[in-house]
Amino acid sequence: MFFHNFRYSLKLLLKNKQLVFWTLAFPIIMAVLFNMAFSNIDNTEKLDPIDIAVVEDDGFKNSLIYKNSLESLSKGDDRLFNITYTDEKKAKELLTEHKVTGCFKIVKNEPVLTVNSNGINETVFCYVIDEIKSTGDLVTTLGTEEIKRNIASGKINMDYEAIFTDLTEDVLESDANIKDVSVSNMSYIMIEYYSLIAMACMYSGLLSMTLINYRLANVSAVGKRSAVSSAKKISIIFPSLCASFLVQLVELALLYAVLIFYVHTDFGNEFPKIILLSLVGSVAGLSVGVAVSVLIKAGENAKFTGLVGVIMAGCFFAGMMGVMMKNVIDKNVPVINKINPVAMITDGLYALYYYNSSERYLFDVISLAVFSAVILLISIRGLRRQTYDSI
Amino acid sequence: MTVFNTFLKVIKKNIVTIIIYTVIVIVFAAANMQTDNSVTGFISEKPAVMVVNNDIESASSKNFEKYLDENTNIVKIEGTEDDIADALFYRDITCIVTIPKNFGECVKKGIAPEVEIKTSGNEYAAFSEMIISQYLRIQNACAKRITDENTLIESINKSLDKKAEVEFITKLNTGALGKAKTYFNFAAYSMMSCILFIVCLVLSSFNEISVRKRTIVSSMDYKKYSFDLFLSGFSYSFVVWLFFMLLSIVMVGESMFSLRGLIFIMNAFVFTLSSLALAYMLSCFLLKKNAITGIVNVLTLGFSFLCGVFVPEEYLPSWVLGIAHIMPTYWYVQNNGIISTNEHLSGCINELLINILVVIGFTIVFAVTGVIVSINKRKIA
Repeated sequence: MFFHNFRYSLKLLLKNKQLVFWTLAFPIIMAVLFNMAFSNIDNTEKLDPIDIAVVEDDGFKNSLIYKNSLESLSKGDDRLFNITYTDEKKAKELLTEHKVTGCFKIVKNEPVLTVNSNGINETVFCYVIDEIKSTGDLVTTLGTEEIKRNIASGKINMDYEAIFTDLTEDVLESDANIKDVSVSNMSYIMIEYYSLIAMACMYSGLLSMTLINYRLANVSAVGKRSAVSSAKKISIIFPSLCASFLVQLVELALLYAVLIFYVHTDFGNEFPKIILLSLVGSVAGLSVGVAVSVLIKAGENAKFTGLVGVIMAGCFFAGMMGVMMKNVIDKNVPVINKINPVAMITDGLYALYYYNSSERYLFDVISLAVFSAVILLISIRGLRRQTYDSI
Repeated sequence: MTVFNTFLKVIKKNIVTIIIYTVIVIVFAAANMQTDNSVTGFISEKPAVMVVNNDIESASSKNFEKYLDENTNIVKIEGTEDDIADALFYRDITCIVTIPKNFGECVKKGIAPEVEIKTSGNEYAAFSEMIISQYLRIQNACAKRITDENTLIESINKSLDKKAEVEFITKLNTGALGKAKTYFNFAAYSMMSCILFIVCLVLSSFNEISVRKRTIVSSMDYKKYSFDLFLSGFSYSFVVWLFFMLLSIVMVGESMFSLRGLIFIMNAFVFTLSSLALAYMLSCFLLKKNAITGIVNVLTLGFSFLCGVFVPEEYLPSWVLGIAHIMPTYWYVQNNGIISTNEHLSGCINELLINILVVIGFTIVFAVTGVIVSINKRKIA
């Protein structure tokens, strides 16, 4: 009896093209789209060399501090600037055509910067020039102080140039003594992929809902025949759930294959824990499907569209349509993501990626298990009450 | 009239979907339209930094914190360690600076104190590091020569106070135009989804074989029938376009009442026509209503992800932008960029027109393909 129902449930699921599209093809298509759209984001987040134009006139050639500093800042792989040395007219042209971020010139021995818009590159450009100006001023102040001290102590014969050269070197080479304790797992685009996995887990609800609908007397003719037969409800529904879970596992495995081998998503060294979370998430999805099927009195199409809508709303709050959304909800209305299974799965995967401890991950796994158990209990109670004298 | 009635019925049935797409554009555009409306000069970006000062008593650490306050946006995160870590991951803060307990003591002795930083690794984090590093370098250089704390602080502040003159050449209101660009880019997704979804549903109802056969054998003039279909589709698309344009006035503000605003609106109109033509072509291919939701979702999301709607085009790899050339959304988004950033529109009128012509070209190709498929299907029916 079990295998008979199990086999037919599998056939029903695999022959339903709409179902296969939403549960298998859609997540994979989204993974491919994410990969195309986000593959460059981590690189573009870094501060790339900034294109600037420098007006190379006599004023600039005579301002050694700016000339030398800009020259050294535009050398090597970790350079800050890509410099185009040109005349004022051409520099303005480059700026207007947005080919350079800013334009640098010396007017009456003072630096003058020209920019065309606001942004981080423009700010960094201006800040670096301010930095050179500050350094120059500091050297002058400290040098003057040293000269005064020397004169006061009776040292009249001094090598002024040497004093200023030493001071410049000293200030430029002065160590800031910063200890960087940043972690490397900072790619927030991972949230997109994690919410995608969460979405795929929850789509198992579509599988279970389709099969349970088929077994309900108030939805399908087969359900009516099942209801009048002597077979127990559990003996019909349990094989359907097992079939849904098996199909879900295969589809999830295919999604993971795409994410690992095509997208190259970083799942770290905690893959068994990720699998466990996906399995618990899939059970949560199945239980939501059962609940929608049993508790909501509506047509098959309405239930299908409604469930897809609810899952997509869950994905929205979990950060799939904009990573920051998860953070905004977590900070301002945390209760939404505390009861949102998509967010629980996403958060569990995020915890494994970003945090060293398993505490948050375990909390998410247990929350999902409790969520599934509560939903299933409510559904079973609803299912047991469904008896008909006539329909 | 039958066709119009069917349109109204389908719209009524799917009003929730239309509302969802409208809410999406409002939420996403509003979330990405944080810039000041009246930006007409240069404003430095200020990275969000969290400062943990373990030496609150010393004048040196207070001065360092004051400098950070002037040059960055200091954010206080209330909550647990996890909340702070989350804030760093989600870029609410780009850097956490920890000032050590012996900061003031070290400065007094002329030793460089070790300052700990934890960054999010992006360009704002790099800039925060630059700001911190600049202060500490100057402080450490001065501390070797100046022993009195007050004189030292004075020297540091005097040096750091030096600013170069900045000229801001554009006369454009970059804040408002940036907002308009963001809104119109996001509107591409919502407008296309609303048009594709509803028009495909209606047209596929009429394209069902049984309905089609009845229509062909009926006394109804086929030309009039086709014209009614076109007119109702166009009217619906026009209403969608009008609605999103009125919404743009609410979202973007008075800068919509300008020449650039008008070009934004015209560009969106041409894009609306291409979406209508695409919907017509799709409905000629698609027979089952069940398939419409899936295909419309894949197409609209695909166009939006690859053409710079959801992810700004500067973040997209060049090969993706290469592929995007075969989608009308790309040319529409290009025009939004040109309208919002070019100082003189007269200088880029050719570029604008070419992009609009390409979108019109797509419209013609979609419409002609649809007509060919439709004629073939009529013969088969």
